Amino acid sequence: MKRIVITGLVGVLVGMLSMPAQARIKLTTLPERETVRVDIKNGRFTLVEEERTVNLQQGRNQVDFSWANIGIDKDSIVFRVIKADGDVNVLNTNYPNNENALYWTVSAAKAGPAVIRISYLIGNMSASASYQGIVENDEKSLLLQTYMTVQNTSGEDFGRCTVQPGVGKTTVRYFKNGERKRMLASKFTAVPIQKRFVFDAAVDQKRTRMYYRLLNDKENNMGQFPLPRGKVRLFIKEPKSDDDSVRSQAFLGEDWGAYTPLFAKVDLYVGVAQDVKVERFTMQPKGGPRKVIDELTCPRILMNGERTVTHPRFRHQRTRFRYRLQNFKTANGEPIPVPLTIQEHVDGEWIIENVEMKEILGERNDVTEKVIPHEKMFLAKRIDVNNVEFEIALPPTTIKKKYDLYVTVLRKNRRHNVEPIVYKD
Amino acid sequence: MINGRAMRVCLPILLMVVLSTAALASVDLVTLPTRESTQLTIYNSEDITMVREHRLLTVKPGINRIQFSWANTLIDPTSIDFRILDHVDKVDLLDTTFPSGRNDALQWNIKSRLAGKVPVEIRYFTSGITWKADYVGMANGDETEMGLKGYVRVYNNSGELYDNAQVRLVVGKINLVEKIADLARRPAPGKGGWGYAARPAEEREVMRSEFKNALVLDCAIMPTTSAPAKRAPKVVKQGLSEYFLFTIAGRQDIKHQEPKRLVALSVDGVPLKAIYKLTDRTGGQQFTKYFRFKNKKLLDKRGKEQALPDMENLGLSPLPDGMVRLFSEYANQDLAYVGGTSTKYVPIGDRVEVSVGDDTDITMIRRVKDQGISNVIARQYKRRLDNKWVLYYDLIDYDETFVYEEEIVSGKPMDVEAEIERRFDANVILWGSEGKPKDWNSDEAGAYVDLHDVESRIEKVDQNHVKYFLDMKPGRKWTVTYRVTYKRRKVGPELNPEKRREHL
Repeated sequence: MKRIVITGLVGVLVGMLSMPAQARIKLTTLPERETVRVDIKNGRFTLVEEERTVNLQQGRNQVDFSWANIGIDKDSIVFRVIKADGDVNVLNTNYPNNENALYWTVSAAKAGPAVIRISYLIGNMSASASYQGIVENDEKSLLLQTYMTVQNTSGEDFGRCTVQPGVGKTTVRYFKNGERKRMLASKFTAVPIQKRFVFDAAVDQKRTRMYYRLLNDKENNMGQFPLPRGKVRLFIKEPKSDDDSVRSQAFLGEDWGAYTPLFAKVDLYVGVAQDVKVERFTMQPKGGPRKVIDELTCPRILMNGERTVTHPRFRHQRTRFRYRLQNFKTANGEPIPVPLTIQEHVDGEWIIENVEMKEILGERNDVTEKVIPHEKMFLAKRIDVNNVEFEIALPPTTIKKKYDLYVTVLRKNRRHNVEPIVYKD
Repeated sequence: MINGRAMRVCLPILLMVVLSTAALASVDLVTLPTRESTQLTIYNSEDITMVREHRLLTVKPGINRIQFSWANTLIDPTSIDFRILDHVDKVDLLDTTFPSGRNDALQWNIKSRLAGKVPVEIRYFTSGITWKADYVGMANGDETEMGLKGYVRVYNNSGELYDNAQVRLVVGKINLVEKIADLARRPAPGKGGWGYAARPAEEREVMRSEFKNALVLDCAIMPTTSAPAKRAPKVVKQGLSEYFLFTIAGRQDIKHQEPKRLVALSVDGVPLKAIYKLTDRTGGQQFTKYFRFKNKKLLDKRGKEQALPDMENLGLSPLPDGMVRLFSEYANQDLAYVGGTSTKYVPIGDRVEVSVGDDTDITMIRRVKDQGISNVIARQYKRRLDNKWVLYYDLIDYDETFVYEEEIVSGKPMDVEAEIERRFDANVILWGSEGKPKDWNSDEAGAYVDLHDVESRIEKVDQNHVKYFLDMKPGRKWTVTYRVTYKRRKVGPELNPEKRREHL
């Protein structure tokens, strides 16, 4: 039997304190738990707080607390008097040998009921978050619902209790041992979505991925608390059809939502954007192979003060990428432009040395290439020293009209172990 | 033992209206709500199907407890969702409770401020139902036009019968972070067993009988199966985010292990083009034949879009990936099997390129007509070693030239378009259709490829690959001659007999 028992033994206890544990007198009348609060915010321990009313006699009282089949941290038990008529003080706490029990010696100035609160830590309870997003048909916003699933394997049946699963609202439930409860913890309505088409050859060389980006701040109708890690399942509302009185939803995809602090963004990989095609090729730099490396020189000061020139073990390396871009995306039967992001991974010191956008018209032997201005449709964003993103407003394409984006990256001052070799005259 | 085929997807729902707050004490009423409709949304990229049921629940004021169980099925317990569709201001879902040690049952606690019927939706994911597309193409004799039929085939290996259901198919690749089948089989956390299989025999007996009873009742209130269709059901196509939704009109019975094949597309007169490719990426010995056609609306003879029904036109939806089987029809209506291959997803407006296998009618013979080494120079280098300059090995520069002749013969009775792609094992400096490059006379290492005599556009694919195009007439031999000079630099010391290393 799993239980937490609390008994009140009242009266003068002068001789009783020296009695052996086995001889303690147990009362059969138990004060009812009036309120119970279960707080699972701390990932490792669960705090339980319960309130009971104990009838105290004037003078010394003994309040017993025992438990079985539940992992209570003995040292964490806190006894507090919340409400009493007159002074009530805890004189000492006693731990009987080899028993899951303790008793408090409490002195009361007056006889009468006292509301006490006992707080303690238990193990074997856990909470995990999951999310459900209902995306509007136009994919501009979503309704994000946070669910907390609380697992009670603590060994204790909680009756009517207040559960604080970590985020969101507090709920009152009956919570039996072994049960799991899934509760709606919060609801964020009309959260703006940034829909992104991302190509990253380091992740997937052939396919463009579609992501939703959400921002956890007040401006974006969230920002109430850091979002815990959890699985996000996304559904989209379908256009209303005649034979379906309730608007259908289709499953869009799912992803793990990382822990998201306030003001941070969360990127959710929803699925593959098969209408947006990117192919990446490594090309020679403009000017041929001799432009792959820029040898550097630096001044050299000799012991006698003379200045000469030498080759340090640094040099610049140049890489040129060609991206073949195609966009077959349509909306209502019409071709539409898409915002495409290409991610590249670099390191150390680097610059984007050159960007060129070409429009490719025709096929096979009838192909014409034309360099077009790219300033309005291309933006290189330095994310950090290891990452750069190229944002492209990609117009619709056809079989006979494509775009080639050429980007030259100059990685500067690379150390190398090849000593410059000079010809002997 | 429960016969899986007899199981319904609509699992028994026991509604227990509990008028007092004591959970265990009172089960006052058990009713079985009417199932109004079932909808299956089946995905082809992952083993996942979304099932949606509408039911009418009878609720009473107070806390209502509804039990839902799905023993012996492949339903993902984490996906089960309950939605109140009407009176949302008076009926609230308080929580979802999974009983101790079970992953095949749950209980919804609902607070109602009204008495009466409330429409609800139960939604969950299940595993075991998939669909695939396949195509049959019938090309005419000269391979300029094709009749194309597209089919969708639904497979049900879930062990369940879904009858009278609306069936929808999703074209697209969704992201799933965990397999539905794994989630369905995952044991309940905590102590004890899980699910039907782990239960003691007597408990299973009780579950079976309860389930059977529920099933009988359920069947009794189900509308009879729709009348047999007189003609093939229509497939309605609709774009949704990055996916396309194919809805099969009417209601279908999706039976266990009885694949259902439906026509999704039937288009005549699709313009077809055959193209022949040879590439060093696949050995560079033999041509492969491809059929190309466009996923675009069909045009009439004046070049205007034809007004055709959706099922009989292209370019209105993407073509899902699937197996393509192609036949050719001769004048006497005999058929020849051309080949079969799988094709990738084709967006609207894009081109389909279907490989139909190696083609021996077009042959390529590649000969090295000449080769030579020139400009051999040995250079001595010095380098600093332990604070002293030492002579480094002599290193050799040389130019190695190959002259290739490619003889291509078409045995086809019609004009043929061919593409040949060659790989060179060094960075390519190309003299092609765009003229001589500025660094043609450079002394840098690389493969200097001279293809300017070829009567075709030359395309530099990447830094190692070059492609040229031929439009070939029947009965003519094409000879393409080109030259590549590999400028090798600082090679050695194996080319240096002295291999000296001494202080200066």
